[in-house]
Amino acid sequence: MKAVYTIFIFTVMVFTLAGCSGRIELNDLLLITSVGIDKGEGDRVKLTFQATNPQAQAGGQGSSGAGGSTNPDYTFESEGYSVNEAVNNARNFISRKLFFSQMSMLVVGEEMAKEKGVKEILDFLERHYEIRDNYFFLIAKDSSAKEILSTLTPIENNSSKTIEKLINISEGSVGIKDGITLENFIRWLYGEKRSPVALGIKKKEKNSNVSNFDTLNDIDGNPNSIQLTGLALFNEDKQVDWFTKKESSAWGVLTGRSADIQNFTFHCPDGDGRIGILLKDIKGKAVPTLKGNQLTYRIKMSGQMNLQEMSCRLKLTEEQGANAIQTAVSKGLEKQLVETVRKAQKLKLDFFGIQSQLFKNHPKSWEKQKDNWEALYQEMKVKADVQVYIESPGARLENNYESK
Amino acid sequence: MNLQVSRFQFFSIVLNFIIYSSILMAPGITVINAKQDGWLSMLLALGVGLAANFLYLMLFKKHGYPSLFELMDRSAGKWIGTALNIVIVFYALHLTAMVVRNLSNFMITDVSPYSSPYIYQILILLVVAYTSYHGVKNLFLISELFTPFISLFVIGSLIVIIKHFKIIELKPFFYNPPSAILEGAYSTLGFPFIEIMLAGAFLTYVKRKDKLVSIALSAIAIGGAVLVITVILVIGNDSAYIVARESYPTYSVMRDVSLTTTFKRVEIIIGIAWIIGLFFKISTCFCVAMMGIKHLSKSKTFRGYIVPCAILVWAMSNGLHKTFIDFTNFVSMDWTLYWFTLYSFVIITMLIGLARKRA
Amino acid sequence: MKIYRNKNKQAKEKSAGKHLDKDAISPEVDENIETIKQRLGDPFDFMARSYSYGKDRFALCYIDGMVSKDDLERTIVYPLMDWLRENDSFDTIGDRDFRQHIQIPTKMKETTSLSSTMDDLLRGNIVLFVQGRRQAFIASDQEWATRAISEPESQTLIRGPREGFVETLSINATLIRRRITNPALRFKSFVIGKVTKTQILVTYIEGYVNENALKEVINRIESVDTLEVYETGMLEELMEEKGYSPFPTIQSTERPDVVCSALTEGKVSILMEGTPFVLIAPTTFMSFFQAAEDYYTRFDLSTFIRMIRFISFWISLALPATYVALTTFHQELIPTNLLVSLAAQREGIPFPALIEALVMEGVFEILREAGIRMPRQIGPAVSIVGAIVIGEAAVAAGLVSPAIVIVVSLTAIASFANPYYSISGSARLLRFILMLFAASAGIFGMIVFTLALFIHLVSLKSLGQPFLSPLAPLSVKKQKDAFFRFPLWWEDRKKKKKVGG
Repeated sequence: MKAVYTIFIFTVMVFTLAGCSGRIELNDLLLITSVGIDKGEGDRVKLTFQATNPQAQAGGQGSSGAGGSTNPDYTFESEGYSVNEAVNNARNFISRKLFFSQMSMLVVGEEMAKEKGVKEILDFLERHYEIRDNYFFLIAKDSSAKEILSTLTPIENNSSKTIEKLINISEGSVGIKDGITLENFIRWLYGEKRSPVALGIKKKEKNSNVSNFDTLNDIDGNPNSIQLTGLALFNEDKQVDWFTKKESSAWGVLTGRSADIQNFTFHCPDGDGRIGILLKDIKGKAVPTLKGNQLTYRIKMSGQMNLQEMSCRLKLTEEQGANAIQTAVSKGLEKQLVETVRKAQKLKLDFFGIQSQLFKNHPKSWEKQKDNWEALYQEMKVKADVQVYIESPGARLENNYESK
Repeated sequence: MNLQVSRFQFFSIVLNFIIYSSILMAPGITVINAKQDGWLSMLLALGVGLAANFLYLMLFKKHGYPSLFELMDRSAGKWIGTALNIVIVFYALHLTAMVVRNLSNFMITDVSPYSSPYIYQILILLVVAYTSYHGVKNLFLISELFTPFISLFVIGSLIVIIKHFKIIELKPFFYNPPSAILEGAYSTLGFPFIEIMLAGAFLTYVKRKDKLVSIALSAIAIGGAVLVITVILVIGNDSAYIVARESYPTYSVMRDVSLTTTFKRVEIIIGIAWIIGLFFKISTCFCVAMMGIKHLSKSKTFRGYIVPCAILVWAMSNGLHKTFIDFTNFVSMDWTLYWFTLYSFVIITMLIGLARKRA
Repeated sequence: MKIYRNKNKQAKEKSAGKHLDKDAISPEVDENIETIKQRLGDPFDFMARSYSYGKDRFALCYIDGMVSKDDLERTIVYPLMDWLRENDSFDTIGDRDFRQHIQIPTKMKETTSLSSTMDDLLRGNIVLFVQGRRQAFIASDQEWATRAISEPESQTLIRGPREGFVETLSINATLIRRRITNPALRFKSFVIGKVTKTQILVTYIEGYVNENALKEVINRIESVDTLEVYETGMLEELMEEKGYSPFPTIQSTERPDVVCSALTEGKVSILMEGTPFVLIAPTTFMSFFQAAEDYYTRFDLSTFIRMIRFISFWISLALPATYVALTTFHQELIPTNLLVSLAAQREGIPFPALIEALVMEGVFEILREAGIRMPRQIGPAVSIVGAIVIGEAAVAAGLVSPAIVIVVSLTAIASFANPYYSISGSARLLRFILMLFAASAGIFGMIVFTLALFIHLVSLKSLGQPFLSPLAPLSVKKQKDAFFRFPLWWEDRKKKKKVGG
């Protein structure tokens, strides 16, 4: 029996001496919902943390909400020579432990992305044990990350929640499925030989000052809103340009990352009026082939669409009219896709993974032509073939102009 | 010891041993060398492991399934046999220490870095000591009890990560030179496939010995297949570039999975399965060491040796490798050869024993 | 309150192991009566009636309150007197014939030992001393006030018989006999307790019972060495494996249908005078989750409810510990929205999560005990209102967070979902230890403790049978009753084999 007592005492000792370490109570944590990185003076980086204010919710519980603030979030800014140092400096004035597990996005200011590049900031984020790999990576257009994070948005009251829902639920006209995460970015940049892209975000009204909760009391929601813009284009780790929204959705289609349902608007065949469609199920492949010295990028897509708006002089009930619409839409899509690839060619950057596809599918022929990539890319021929079929004309058959 | 073990229990112990050794680290180890052909190295390692174990088990069968330690004594004479038994016991204790260290490394790296590793090591060693105290039969019963649940967890986790699997990450197939694939296979060969020879110590206690070889081999094959599938799925999820840089790739992949808004944090499933599976591996090695000591000291029971050996294992797990890098390097570079030495010694001894029997 | 009458009952066998006194019965009736009076200390309820006819004399002794007095005259005295008048004297009758010649409806047995006479007297039998004979004749005609058969309160159900055991041994035995009218049903009686000399019956069905279990049970009963035993709970503790297991290894029940089903499975059951709780041994862990009702309702519903029982056992064991582990160690596992509201709730709470959980659990245990002991009229009201009011007031005062109140109430409700009280008792105790482990090492600590618990369960034996079968050792055939309740027509009920444990 003595042995049992010894082991018991030993266990108790172990628990009291070595145990209970690493535990932290919920009310000692600061839940970080997003991180923004901007360029500081000289070589420094400026970090902005957006955190939830638990007292704002606690006020509704009736427990100890007397005198608590009602602002749902707070942002904190901290500087340092590297990200780690900036985080460390933040511990000097933030009263709780920074808790990154709930982080949903990373915003980098345009200035930082264009001038300094994002290479140095990636390591800390990857190595941290709390941070997962599936948060969104955004570049702030025409503003700094701090401004984006400090915006109190209507309805969601929190810019990271707004962006998260924008990307997941309404998906924007940019239409990228599941957004672009930092992991994807790193994989494209270092793993494959591909120029990465990132989502773009900007404030809807550029110079509005919306950091105060009172601004939400106005019925005009525009000043407080932030909106998705086209993708940010990178060369290695520095940003060079932006796609437009149309080009971004084309990019999504080409790389197979488009949202399930997208909206497009095209001109009518005879130029007068517009056709608006809901594009579902776009399927297809964009495959590069290398024959001798000629690189060809074959795009073959097909999809179904629902007609949403039509102000053309076409009779939809006739086969001629339906075909005309289909052709107009298909050609319009083809044009958009080809234009996007041309823009990338002009920038001499490969955003679509052409290089890596060639490497993975035809390793042997790629080995021979590898050094010639630049020339090959410039001379690349793009052949697009898109077929879209009308699945449903909406709730009306004929439009008003034709039935007169 | 009047120990009777059923074949399903033996099967479950071997299966748990193989799967949970490296399900969290296997993709990393193979991909570092073989890049996207990591799954090929895993397959190769599985093949070589099966062949090696087949030889080992057939020799056992020819001898008539005695206890491993008796076999050494019988085949090589008293002095060399005792020396070999001591070596086997030490190998088993060393392996226990390494696995304990592996477990506490995982907890420190991924779960709570602010804790001290001692608490995890001591807790798991306490449970292992408790189960050894109740005897080897107890371990087999527990394994039989838990195997359906943890297998379900593993299969569930694997199904969940199929959603983001992209086969293009595995291409181009066979791109890497065979030397890279062999290097990848080398590291992972020792990691579960040769260590399983320790389970030979239990062969003699299985009640029905017909088809024992095929049961053991099928357990190894199924375990290896699960590992290969894991490697394939993990490489397909994150690319080979990222997998090679992660400490625990399977866990990291599980973290990124989001089924619906509520099930975003499903990595706990494989975390729990892994801890329980590692518990089985540690207990198996520890029990083999205990049985060896019991045989060497000719005592009736090994209960008295449990606590000192547990303390020794704890000290070894902390003291042998001070840093994480040292530990990883030792495991990926030297472990296979280290165990291969033991394997060849044991095989040679068994062959000598056969020759002596015939003579 | 019903008056219990017991006529035409067979006199019970004596148990082995009772040491016989050296005293013999003297041929003088009065002397016997005097000796007995002395030994019993001249009690107020000891009655001795003597009747004389000529020079023949006989006396009836009994304990008042334990026999049916009106019958006494009719069934014993009048026939004897009649017979005396017919035959003039007893002298002409031999000892053996005496019994046969008495035409009394109650059966008689005879004995020559004064001490066994006294034992039988104290059990409510009637002792007949006849002048000139060295034997005493014992007839049983027990009648005493007892509780009416009613629904057992500790195990209620919706569909099924509402008869429960009462405190009288023979009524309980009858309840069993009515349900199993098989001649192979056996009752073996023993006497336990040097001071209390309580009578117990070991019941089994010959041919179906697990022989090893039966031998083990009888061994253990005979080796019980105690002064007193009042309830089968005490006997259970004395018979169990020596050790400190938190789990019960012998089941107890108040329902006769549960006992009969256990008997047909090959188990042994033990009844005791003075308590309605009957023991069933050997038992497995799974049988604590099977209610009798499972077999009387449809199989799909019973399977579903059985699953709920397992889940609620697990909840009552692990929910507070999970809450503590998740909120202090693994906050990353909680979805963001939930985490924000939990963090909001914990603003301003002075205690860490572990102390909160321990205090609330402790308060609830106090409430539960108080609710049981309070008088019927105010008991339930106080416990329910107390729980709600204390919970609300504590939250409003800022002492605990609302989440912990939910956790504690859910735990408490889940602990009542089990049909057997003994197993939820072990969950109550283990819950606190699990909380401590969770607070020191998070989910890892919980896993470690659960492993240790299972290791303990696997090594536990209930009277020699493994406690955790049919899970370990795994037997696929016996799974039919463990987690699921397979339909009855899946098994050929005619060929019910001997199933042990």
